[in-house]
Amino acid sequence: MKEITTADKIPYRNRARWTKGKWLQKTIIIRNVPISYMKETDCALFVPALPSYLPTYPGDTAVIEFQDQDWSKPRVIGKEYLPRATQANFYIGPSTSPFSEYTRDEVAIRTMRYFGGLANSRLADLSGGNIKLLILPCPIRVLSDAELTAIQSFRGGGGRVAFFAGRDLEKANDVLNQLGSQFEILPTYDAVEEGVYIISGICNMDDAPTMFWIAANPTGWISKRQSFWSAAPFKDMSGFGLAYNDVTAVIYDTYLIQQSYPYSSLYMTDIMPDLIDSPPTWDDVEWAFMSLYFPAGHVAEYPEGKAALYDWLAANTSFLPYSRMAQSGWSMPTIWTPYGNVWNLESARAYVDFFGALCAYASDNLIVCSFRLDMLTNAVGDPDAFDYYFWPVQFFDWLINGKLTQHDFFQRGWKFVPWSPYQAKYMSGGIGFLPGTMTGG
Amino acid sequence: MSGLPINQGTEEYLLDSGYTVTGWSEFAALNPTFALVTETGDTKITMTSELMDDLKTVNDEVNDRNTYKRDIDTYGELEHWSLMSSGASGDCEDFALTKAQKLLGLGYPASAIKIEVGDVPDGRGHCWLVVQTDKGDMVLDI
Repeated sequence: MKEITTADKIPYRNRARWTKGKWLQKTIIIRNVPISYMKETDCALFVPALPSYLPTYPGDTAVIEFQDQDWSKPRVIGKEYLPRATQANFYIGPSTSPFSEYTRDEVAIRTMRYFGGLANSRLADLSGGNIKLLILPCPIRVLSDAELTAIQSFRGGGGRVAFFAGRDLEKANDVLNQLGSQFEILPTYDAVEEGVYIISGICNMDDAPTMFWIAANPTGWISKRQSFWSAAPFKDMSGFGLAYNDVTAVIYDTYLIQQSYPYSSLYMTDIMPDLIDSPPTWDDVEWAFMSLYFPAGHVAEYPEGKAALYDWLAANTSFLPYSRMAQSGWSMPTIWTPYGNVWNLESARAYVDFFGALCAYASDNLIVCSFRLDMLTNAVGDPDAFDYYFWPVQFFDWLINGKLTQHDFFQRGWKFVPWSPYQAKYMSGGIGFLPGTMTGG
Repeated sequence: MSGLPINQGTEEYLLDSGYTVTGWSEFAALNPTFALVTETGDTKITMTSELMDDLKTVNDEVNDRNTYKRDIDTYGELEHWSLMSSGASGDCEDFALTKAQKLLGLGYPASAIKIEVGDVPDGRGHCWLVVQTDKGDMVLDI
């Protein structure tokens, strides 16, 4: 026997009511429905809440599936229209690693790849000290293990190589000119295949006029670690570039090989606390390094010359102790995002899944670090989650030699200067920690 | 996931569905003077204890005194909308129509009494009666 109940309690769907001489359908407008964003590897989807003083930068319109016809289980399944380029990173890596015996992750090598929509940028001459940093938006897709293996095999286990493919190789030549002796061109046929593959990937890249790949191997860095590289079963810094519209080049490199140090991933959240307690030596651990150097990047302009650069770094660089975020009981700072809104990292603690690859130039005096927060998959915090941060090399000195203490982390008054396309285009100056927010943990 | 209740902030609207219900159309043709057929208004009635009592009485009475039986078994048709006499058999829409008839007989306005159709969770079609009140739309189901 059915009791009298209200219409919103009955489970019937596709309801229509005979009203005013018509069958009128119940339509329900759902508000405040939780959204599970696509992973960044699906091309990030987000609608940044820009401050009023920034130009409108609309996001994509998503198609959302309510799984099992349950409104509590929405899932973004696509875009209404061509997704705009956005920035994201993703990892590739073999699921089985030659270093598996040393690792606790199934993936020992994680490579971040950044693609860009950067106009008129050129690769830097890595042989000089005039360093420019460029941040590259728009992911393409994740390569499969097989593809990665193929690339690695094709490269022949390291060295200075570059892939070029696509319909317009003129820019590739420009890149080569910039790269100088740092890189070599590989035969293009495989690269063409790769390019086709990318173009047909999940991001709409049909309008990409040029595509090329670059495997970068900053020789300065490699030479420093030559003894290790020569002994490692897999040695090489990897990467590729993508030309997208006016983009001429992208280099990326991030890599981690660990020989005997029992920490396996790029996740500094894993490594750093242990390093503090028991710092390894360079003979024990190899770090991941990434290089993004551009002489004419429009994102960041740094002083010419080493001395000026170091002065600038001394005044502006810092590190962001995200290792704290992986530890319970540690308070998180509040930062200003490039959009001008306050981002409470404490609230984002659970979503931090990546703490930057360490990035290096072939210099003892500059290390560039990036980090990523799992923003897009969790829809929290600042969507501009793929910034880069400069770290003074002294940090690593402290780290490695056990000079860095928790006190150092939080009492040195660090500032950080993230660089992103948004910030660089729309804001002047860096974004820093709010004074006084980095209290001790 | 934000964990918000799924019903939070939801609103319902009635939009023209653009489709027809064959059984209803046939019923209307056979019963052109039935108040739900002729009524074009859309109102709500004030919820009172008396109204709720009447709704329960009508709902229970029809559900108790009539037996559910598929149209195909009664009429040899997949769909046959009809008013039931006490003790007769019928399926969901017949129950709904009969309840509407009784409520009309009690003096409630046809403009607030609505036949509603839809799908049960397993996808089968269903019909029930709705009485629109200022405290919500009340469902009289079988």
